[in-house]
Amino acid sequence: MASNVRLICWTTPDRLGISLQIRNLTGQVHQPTTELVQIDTGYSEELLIPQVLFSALNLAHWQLPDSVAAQGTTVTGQLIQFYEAPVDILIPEAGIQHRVVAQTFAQNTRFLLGRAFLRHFKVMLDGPGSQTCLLVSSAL
Amino acid sequence: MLTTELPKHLQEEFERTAQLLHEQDGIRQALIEAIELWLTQQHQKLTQAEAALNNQAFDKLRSQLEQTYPDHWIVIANGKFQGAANSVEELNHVAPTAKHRIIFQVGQTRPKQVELGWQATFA
Repeated sequence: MASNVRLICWTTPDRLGISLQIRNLTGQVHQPTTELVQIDTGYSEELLIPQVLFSALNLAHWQLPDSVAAQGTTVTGQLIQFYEAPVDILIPEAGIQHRVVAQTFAQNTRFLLGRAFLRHFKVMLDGPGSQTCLLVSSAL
Repeated sequence: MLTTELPKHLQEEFERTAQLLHEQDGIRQALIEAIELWLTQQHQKLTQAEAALNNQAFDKLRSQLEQTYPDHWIVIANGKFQGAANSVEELNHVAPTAKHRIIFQVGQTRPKQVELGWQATFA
């Protein structure tokens, strides 16, 4: 079976980013249009969202148990409790809907895609074109 | 209509600050902001209290759930096991008024070590 590869690209000078929406399990999206979210290869998991977004999407209604969710300690010894809940990542331009576990922690303002997300997709950084592209294949 | 009396020193400082910051309609605007902030804080406190109760219940029930509902999604709300289903979506309607629910696919494991590259490695 032959396959056709499409490139879906976003202008992202000097960084990697994908334009997406986050949707909770009752269908509420985080905003009516997509938002460019940076890919950070230093972050090991799929999706880190700001704590205010975790609240706005009412993700406490689908929260994973604390004893299952990741915990951590900073270099200064501070304990970090991650809050985790399943959400869907929507990339409308590519027709993609991808279920992930979103993470946040108290006072977090970062909104990132991480390495675990990249394991599911082919992403190309086009430096000269100042853009990030998603390679989407469709069977012919 | 709500009417109440504030301590004098608090009322004077409140009126003065509200007029400074908002000018026209200052007191009404300041009261709206204060009530919104208070409601948000109370909502967070209630959610945290429910979360603590639900996490205690989960830890207590975990081994029993692993025996009874392997691979199923379960929901805990109001400190109690509320139901199990084959998909997480089937549990959307359970305990709709709860501020916090635990959702979990029995047997699911999550990475315990998270790297946040800009700051440190969390283990």
